[in-house]
Amino acid sequence: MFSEVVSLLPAGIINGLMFGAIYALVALGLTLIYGVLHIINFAHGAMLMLAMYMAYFLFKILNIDPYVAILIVTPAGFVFGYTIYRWGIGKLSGGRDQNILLITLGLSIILENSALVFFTGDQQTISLSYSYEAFDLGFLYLSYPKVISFVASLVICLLLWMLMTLTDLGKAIRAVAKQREGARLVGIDVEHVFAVTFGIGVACLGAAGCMLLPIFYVDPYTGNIFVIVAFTIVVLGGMGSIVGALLGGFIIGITESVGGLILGESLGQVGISLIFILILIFRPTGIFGSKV
Amino acid sequence: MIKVNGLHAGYDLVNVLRDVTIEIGNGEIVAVLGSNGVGKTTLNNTLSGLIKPTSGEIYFDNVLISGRDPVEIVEMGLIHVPEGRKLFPNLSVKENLELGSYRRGKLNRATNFERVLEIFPKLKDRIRQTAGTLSGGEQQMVAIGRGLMSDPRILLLDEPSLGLSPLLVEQMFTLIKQINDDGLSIILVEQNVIQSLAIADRAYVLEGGTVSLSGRADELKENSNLKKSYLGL
Repeated sequence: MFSEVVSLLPAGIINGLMFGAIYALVALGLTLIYGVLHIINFAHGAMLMLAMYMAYFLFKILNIDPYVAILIVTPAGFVFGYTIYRWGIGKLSGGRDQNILLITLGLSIILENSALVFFTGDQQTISLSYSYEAFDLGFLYLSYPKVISFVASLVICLLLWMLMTLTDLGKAIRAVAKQREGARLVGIDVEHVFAVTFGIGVACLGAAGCMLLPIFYVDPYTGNIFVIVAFTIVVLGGMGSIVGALLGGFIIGITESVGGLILGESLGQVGISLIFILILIFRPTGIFGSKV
Repeated sequence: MIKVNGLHAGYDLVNVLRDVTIEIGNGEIVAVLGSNGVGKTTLNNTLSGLIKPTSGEIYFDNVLISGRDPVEIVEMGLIHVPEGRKLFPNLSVKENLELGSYRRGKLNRATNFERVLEIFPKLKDRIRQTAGTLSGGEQQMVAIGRGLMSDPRILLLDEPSLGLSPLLVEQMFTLIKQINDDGLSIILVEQNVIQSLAIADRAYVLEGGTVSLSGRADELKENSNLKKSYLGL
């Protein structure tokens, strides 16, 4: 038994990395919105679900491959996020954090129940012609969808990191996160930057939704499965940290995958909760988090 | 250059400024003096658009700017260096300075950056450090530097000497004079009466939210009322 687990370990780790990359994307959106706007987006799961449905219908109706659909659903996510913050959440909340929480919570209820009405509660899956083709690494078969997701997630994280450190917009996003009044005094349109941040956060979900569709089912509540894991990742990596979200995504992905190998598929997530409890006890600010 | 006419402003129900009328000409240093709580910072925040006045007008080169958004006011070249500096503590000194030209002065970013480092050579060693880790004096340099990055036409300095050691205060005032000599108009809001009057062309004294005294700086220095209220002489 023991030697069997050891021999499967490399495969488990690599599988975990692959899935962790998608987790990281979901967490990235969450951590960005939290880090800048200081609010938890309770509609995160519902928005991920919407992205998955969008990818699903693009595939079913227009026959667009979900990995190609990334190029459509990601910008659509940005526009949706920007619009809903600028003319919805931002306006209705009057700038009060507790109102924003309630509004995003209400939004998730509206989105999930609308999905139930329009898309029914049935679980939908798609199958791609290359879903079962794989790279043979000798000790492990890596399916194409997982490899593509892994690479695409890394590319998106890299692009986001470049945006945040190299461009004026990225610097402005980081600036308003800590000093809103100072930002206004250099002429930064704070409401615009908030909406852009929210848009980028939802855009990450757009990409994640496309990548999840080929390997997971979608129904009106799918999103929440991933968002609960994403919360753990955000706390693990440090609230607001991009690198933390990526690293946290990998750690959680590997924990789940290796945990599944040892304890069986259904108990794989026990490890995630265990990590969550350990972080809260020993390093509540996360790996890359700073004290507020 | 700036004309403030019968300005009333405040927060929610508390009116802080009452009927303030002041004027700043091109190339002048005008000091606005007063002790804590007389409305100096409120005046600045109203000028830069952070607060909307309840009544009265502010003109910048004959254009009405009162009630406009700070973004537009920055775009026109009125730059407010706030009390407490309001730097971006998580960003490096370089990034703080770069964001100074986020809205205005982007084309001259490289030259202005060099110029700021010439004025504050001390910042050269700190350029990659995050602003939150700097000393108070260094933070004040970054704050003024950030203001200069935007090619200001008029600079609004709110208590630049606050929290600095006496030696640094001296240097700071020399520097403000030097920046003004390069042709920049400055509104200097200060508690430090003697030093401010030494470099200002004219001054207004605020008391209880309204202008109680105004005139040329060298005349005010000899004014017995000012001496009474500030120096207890």
